[in-house]
Amino acid sequence: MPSLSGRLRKLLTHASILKTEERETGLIRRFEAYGTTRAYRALKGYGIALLVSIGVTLAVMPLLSHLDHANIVMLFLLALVGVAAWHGRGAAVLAAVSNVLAFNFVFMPPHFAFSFGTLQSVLTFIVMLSVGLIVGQLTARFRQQAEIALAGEARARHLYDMARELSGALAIEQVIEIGERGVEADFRVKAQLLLPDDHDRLQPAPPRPDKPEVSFAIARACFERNEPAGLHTDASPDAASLYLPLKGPLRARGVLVITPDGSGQAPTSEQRRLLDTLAALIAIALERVHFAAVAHRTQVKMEAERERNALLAGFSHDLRTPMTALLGMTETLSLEPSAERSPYRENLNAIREQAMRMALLVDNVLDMVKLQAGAGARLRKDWQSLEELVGSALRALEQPLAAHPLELALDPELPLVNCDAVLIERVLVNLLQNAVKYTPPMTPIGVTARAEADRLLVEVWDQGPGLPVDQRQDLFEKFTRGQHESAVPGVGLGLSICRAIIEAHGGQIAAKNRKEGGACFGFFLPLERLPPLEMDEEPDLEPP
Amino acid sequence: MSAATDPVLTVLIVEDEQAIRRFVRAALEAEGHRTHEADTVRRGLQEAGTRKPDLVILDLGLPDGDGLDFIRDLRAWSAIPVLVLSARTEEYDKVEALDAGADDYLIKPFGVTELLARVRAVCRRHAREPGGATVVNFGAARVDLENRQVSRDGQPVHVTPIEFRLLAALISQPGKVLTHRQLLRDVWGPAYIERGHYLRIYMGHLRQKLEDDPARPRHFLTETGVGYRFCLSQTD
Repeated sequence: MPSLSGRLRKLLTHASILKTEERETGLIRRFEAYGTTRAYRALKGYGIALLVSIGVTLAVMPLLSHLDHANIVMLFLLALVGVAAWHGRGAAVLAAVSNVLAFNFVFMPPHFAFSFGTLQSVLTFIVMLSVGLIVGQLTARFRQQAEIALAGEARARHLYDMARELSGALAIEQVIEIGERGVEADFRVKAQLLLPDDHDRLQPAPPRPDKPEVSFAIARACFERNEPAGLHTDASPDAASLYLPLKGPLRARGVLVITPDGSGQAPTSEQRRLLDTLAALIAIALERVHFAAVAHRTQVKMEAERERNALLAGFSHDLRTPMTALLGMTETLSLEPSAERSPYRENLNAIREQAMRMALLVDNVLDMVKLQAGAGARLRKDWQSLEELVGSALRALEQPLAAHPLELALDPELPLVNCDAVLIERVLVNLLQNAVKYTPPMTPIGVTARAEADRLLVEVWDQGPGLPVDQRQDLFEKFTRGQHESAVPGVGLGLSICRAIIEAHGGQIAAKNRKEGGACFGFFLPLERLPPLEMDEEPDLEPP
Repeated sequence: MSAATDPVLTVLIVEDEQAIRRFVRAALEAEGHRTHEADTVRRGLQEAGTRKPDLVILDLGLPDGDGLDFIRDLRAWSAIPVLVLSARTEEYDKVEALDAGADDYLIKPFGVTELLARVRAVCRRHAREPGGATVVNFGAARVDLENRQVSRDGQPVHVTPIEFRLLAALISQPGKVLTHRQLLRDVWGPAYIERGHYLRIYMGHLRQKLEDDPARPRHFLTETGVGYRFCLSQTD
């Protein structure tokens, strides 16, 4: 993911800005620990300052006769610079004072007595003090800068380590563990991550003995608004913890809850910025893991789909092969010239009819399996003419329909409808088959179709006995998913398939009794805008 | 046309199921045809090369490969008619088979009468001289392909150039299933292969102009999900 490395780079740049802007703060725990060592080091500096003054005095005393006063002052100055350079401003001031006192007491006449009356002694004192202060000041500044640079580097390295660890995390649990540990390493706080579920609703964390309690209400508000809340913020500032949203590049990925260990001192702006950086790092890692999981799930689903299709094809082949053979062989037998007079002719025909019924049943079962596994994605939609689909459904049922007068009322101006032709033809065949099955011969059967605003209404009706009032409810039950299959084999399944097909197309199907008598099954299909035809209609063909 | 006047054919049956092979062979031999059998793509191609059959009956699901491979391979060196046997779940395979050069298909389970009728139709079509008849009569309609004239009940019928091209494409191969792709490519051009709605609209026009009852066509038949078939008469 190129964008991830880009984001990491940006974050690290952010961290380096923090480093250069750093002032004297107790940001990092190691940095705060300087408090104690610093006092000890200052004390040590003062001691050394005194020791240096005494040392120089004792060392120079034997050489008093050989050295000029100016030389002696320079030796003291050298010692002072050393103390200032190594031990800072405070020690330098002490050293300046003690040097002047020692010089005045031991080396200035009168020896072994203080005399501050002369201009010379005052000048020496002023020079000594000034040099000590300047060198000490410089040293202190350098040292401070070095310390800040070290702290900044440590933090940048820490951020980098955490980013690297997070980018290697493969599971949400790992991200949580690394994230919480990373925040706790930087601050004297307890950190907890709250994450949403698959429907993007934040989930409360299970109580853990090593973590303080958090307010789920504040966390949810923080997550939903994608704004910080709790301690030291505008929203619920009285809370014991700070709630930071994990702002991913696309949306909030959860909430980081930070509970300070000690007294609630407001974090500095640098601290807050560092916290935001950490939260952003965790959010990116969570997002990456999320998308990796999504990709994996999709792959598994596609794999399952492929497997199921292969299984269905194999199943269909296995069921159809023996039926094809059965049907073919029965027909071969009945075509024999001797079959005309055979007493088994009836049986042969019965076998053939049963085999045909079996084949239809297999078709229905396989269609149902295909449709119930979410057909939406597998519809082979194209622009179809309903008149054409009705025509081929009627042709498929030519023989059974021969005994019924047919009334077709298809609006000649019917628009094309975007649908799966094979499946919609199956709906028409099933409905017509039902009409044939449940009405006596010579009962009129009809198909009407018309466009209504943005949908196409198709009705298959008959003038038979209609749907029994007590069974009508049953029929609708069957429509609703096919758990309540009827005792009449085939019917429930056929209507369930119709319903599944129509609903997969975003339509509706319903059954009713007609006022004039008989049953009527009607379905709607949504109409869409036909893409424009590119060609201008050509002129009529001229005779040559 | 009666069976007696039909020529004796050499038929190659490529099918891995012995039970189906047996009854197909029995039905063909009862009609006086000669048969050869193969149960794999490889064997089938070998047999097709050595036996020089007049017709191949091909199952699409074979153990060592796809029936489509067989058709493509065969079409590289031969124009022998191919009749495909397909299960209903393989409906898109059978469209591909037709696009690849198969001549017709039968959906399992099928009956003997249906099989023999298709065999006769495929072979008759194949034996017909290409570009033979220039005047075709069907129902009340008469189409003069050479003079580009269409009439119905003796009255001239106006058709547009595209309608005429579609009409000519259909009636020049009576009884044969032409897939949507083939028709779109031949009539409109390769750029129009994905635009099924052109075909629906123009088929509607042709039926309005030439069928007695456009909702129950007798000549311009729909093969749902596959394409169209032009029938001269109901028995074709």
